[in-house]
Amino acid sequence: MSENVIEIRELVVEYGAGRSARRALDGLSISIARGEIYGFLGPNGAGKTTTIKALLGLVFPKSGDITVLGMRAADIRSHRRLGYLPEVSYFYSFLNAGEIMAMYGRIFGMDKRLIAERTEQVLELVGLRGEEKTLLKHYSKGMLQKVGLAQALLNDPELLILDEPTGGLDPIARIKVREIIRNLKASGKTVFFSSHELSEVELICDHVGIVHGGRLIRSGTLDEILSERKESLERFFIEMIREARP
Amino acid sequence: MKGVWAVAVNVVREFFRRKDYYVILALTVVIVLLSSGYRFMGIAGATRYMRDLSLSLIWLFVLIITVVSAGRQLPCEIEKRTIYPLLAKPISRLGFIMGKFLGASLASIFGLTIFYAFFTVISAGQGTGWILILQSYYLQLLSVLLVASMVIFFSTFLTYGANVTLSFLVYFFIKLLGARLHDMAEQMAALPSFLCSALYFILPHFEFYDIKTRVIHMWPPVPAPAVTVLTVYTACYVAAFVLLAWIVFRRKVL
Repeated sequence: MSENVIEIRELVVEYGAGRSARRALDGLSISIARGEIYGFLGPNGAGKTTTIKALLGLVFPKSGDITVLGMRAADIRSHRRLGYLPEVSYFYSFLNAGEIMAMYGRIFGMDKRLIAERTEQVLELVGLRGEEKTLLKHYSKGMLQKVGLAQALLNDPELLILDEPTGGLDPIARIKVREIIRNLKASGKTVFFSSHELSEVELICDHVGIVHGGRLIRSGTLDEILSERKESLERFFIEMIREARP
Repeated sequence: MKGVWAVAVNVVREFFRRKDYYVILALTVVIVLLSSGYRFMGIAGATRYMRDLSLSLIWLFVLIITVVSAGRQLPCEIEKRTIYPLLAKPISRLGFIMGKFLGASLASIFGLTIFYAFFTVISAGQGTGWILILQSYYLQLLSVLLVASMVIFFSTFLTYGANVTLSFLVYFFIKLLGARLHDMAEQMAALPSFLCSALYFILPHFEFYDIKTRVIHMWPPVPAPAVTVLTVYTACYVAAFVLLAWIVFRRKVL
C-alpha cells in the first residue's frame, strides 16, 4: 500500500458538457505523504476548491485517478478517516454547536458518550466552550470558522482537508489555528490546506504546491522553494504565476 | 442507517424551528375549531358539512406541508452549501436522499397526526366510526410518503420554485383526472390513446388515498385487503421515486 495519503494522477475535471465545457483541472498530479502539512496555493479560479471537491467525491473526474487514504475518492469509507473544513463555514444556522457536533457524530457512528466527550474536547480546543447552546445564526464569521474546524476534528481524523482555514479569524485565533495544525502534525496527522495567505503557508507548511490554470506549476518542500531564489514565498508565488501566464 | 436517521432528525428539527410551520398549524387548528362551531350552536344537518370542510382543510394543509418541506431539502442544501461538509462525512448519496425523504415525511406526518387528533375530538359523538377515521388517517399517511418521495425526486433536477409548482400540478392533475385517463384513452386515436393509457398505468394514483366521501357519509370502512394492496402499491412507488432520485443525484456535480 502506498505511503501517500493523497495521490492524484493526471486529474482532469470539467464543468458543463460539450462546447460549453470549462476545464477546471487539466492534468493535475499531486502526492502527499503521511504526516505532511501540504500548502496548496493558487490565484482565484486556479482549481484549488475543485481539487478539494474531487478529493471529497463532490465532483467527478473526466479522467485521471484520485486516491485518498488508499481508497478511491468516491469511496465514503475514506470519509470516516478524514476531516474537512469548507472555505466558508456552511452550517445549519438553526442548530447550535452542540447539535451540529451531535448530528455529525451520529453520521460517524459515534455513540452518545463519545459524541459528548469529543464535542467537549474539540470545542475546548477551538475556544468555543460555553457557546454550545448558542444558535449558529448568532455566531460571528470567526466563530463559525471555529465551529468548522471543530467539526473537522470531531472524528480525530488521519487526514485534514482545510480550505482557507484562517479566513475570517482574528490574529489571536490565527495563532491558535496554527498551533492546532502543528499539534496535529506532531501527532502524525496529514494536513492538506489551500490558502491565499502566503504568510500562513510559510509559517506552517512542509510542502507547497502552486496551482494555476488547473495545473500544478511548481511543488516542493518549503526549503527547496525558498532556497531556489532566496526570496519570500509571496515573491516566489507571484513570479511563478507571471511566468505561467500564456 | 445511523447517518440516514441523523439527516432525517435534522430535517425534522429544522421544520420545528421554522416559524411558518407554526403559522400553518395554528391556522388549521383555528379553522377546524371554527368549522366545528355550529355543532355547539345546534345547527341541524351541519355535521356532514363540518366533516367535509375539516377533512378538506386537513388534506390541503398536509399536502402543502409535504410539498414545501420535501421540496426545499436538496435545493436549499445545495444553495446554502451545507451539503459540502455533510457529504464529506461517511454518508452515501443514497443515504442522504433517504434521510431527506424520511425527515420530510416524518415532519409532515407529525402535522397530519395533530390535525387528525383535532378532527377526532370534534367528531366525537357524531357517529363517525373509529375504524373509518383511522383508515382515513392511514391512507393519508401513505399519500404523504408517496408525495414526499415524488417531490424529493423532482428536487434532484429542479429548483425549489419549479419543483413546488410541478409537484402541485402533477398532484392535482392525477387527483382530478387520474381515474378518467383510462376512459379518455378509449375515445382517442391510436397514439394519444396509447400515451393516455401509459400515463394511467405509470403515474401514481393519488385519488386512491382519498376516502373523505366515505368518512363524511359514514359508509362502511375500506376492506382490509384493499388497504393492504394500497400499502404495497405505495411502497413500490416510494422505492421507485427514491431510486430514481438516487440515480439522478449520485453523479450530480456539487
